[in-house]
Amino acid sequence: MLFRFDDFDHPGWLMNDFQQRLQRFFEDYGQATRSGWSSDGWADLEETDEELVLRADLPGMSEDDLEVTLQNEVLTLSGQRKVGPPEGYRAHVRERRPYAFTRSFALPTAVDPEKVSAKLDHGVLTVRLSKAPESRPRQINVTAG
Amino acid sequence: MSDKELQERGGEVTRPRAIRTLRPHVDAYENDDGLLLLADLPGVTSEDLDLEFDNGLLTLTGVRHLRDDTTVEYARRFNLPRDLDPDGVTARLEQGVLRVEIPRAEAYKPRRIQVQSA
Repeated sequence: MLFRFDDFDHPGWLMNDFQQRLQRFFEDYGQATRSGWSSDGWADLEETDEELVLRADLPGMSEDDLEVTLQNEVLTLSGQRKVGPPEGYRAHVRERRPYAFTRSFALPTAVDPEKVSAKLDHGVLTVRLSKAPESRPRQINVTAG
Repeated sequence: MSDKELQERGGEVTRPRAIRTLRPHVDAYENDDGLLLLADLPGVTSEDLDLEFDNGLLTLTGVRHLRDDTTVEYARRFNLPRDLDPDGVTARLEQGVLRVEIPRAEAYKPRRIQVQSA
């Protein structure tokens, strides 16, 4: 028999077939399985003598999805990531999560609000805050008495 | 010999850089034309990304260099359904997300069949 006509009552029949074929879609991959998942929303604050540098993983977000504000030595990041099937596509596997977040960081030292830069590069946000002069280490000359 | 002794004798102490391997999150979407994969790979540039297809397996490896000289490797491997055409794979990195499009082989694309009247 070439066709079973009752198949046509189920518009998803072609797709079910595809899902069956995708059951073994993810192949366990050596070390990766042991070391775990990459994490969403990882962020890190680094302090050097001259500046504070905040980095955050935000894959799939554009400048327009993101807001960075600085007020009273609190740096706040907020943003929204939308994920979903592009127009005309059906979803089979969805691990990437949509999220909306607001996260505040109390800065450990005073910064110069005029010297702040924020850059998104390859899904990583880097915010550089220049320390206020009084917050930087300074060399004190020792004079002989 | 301890590190200190080695250094005192003019030797250089080198250690293997820490490498962690992580599984990136992946979405798989499908339409009549083929399969679309999206993988979160923050911090990975195209020079450090490797996509390989062999014997029905698509292997994705991306290396990320962190500021403290450590390295993170993102790795994932996929069994592709047979009706996809691996020769037509295209891949693009955008905002830290890898987009891989794999077309369905022509023979498997749905097609309309003209019914002729007698």
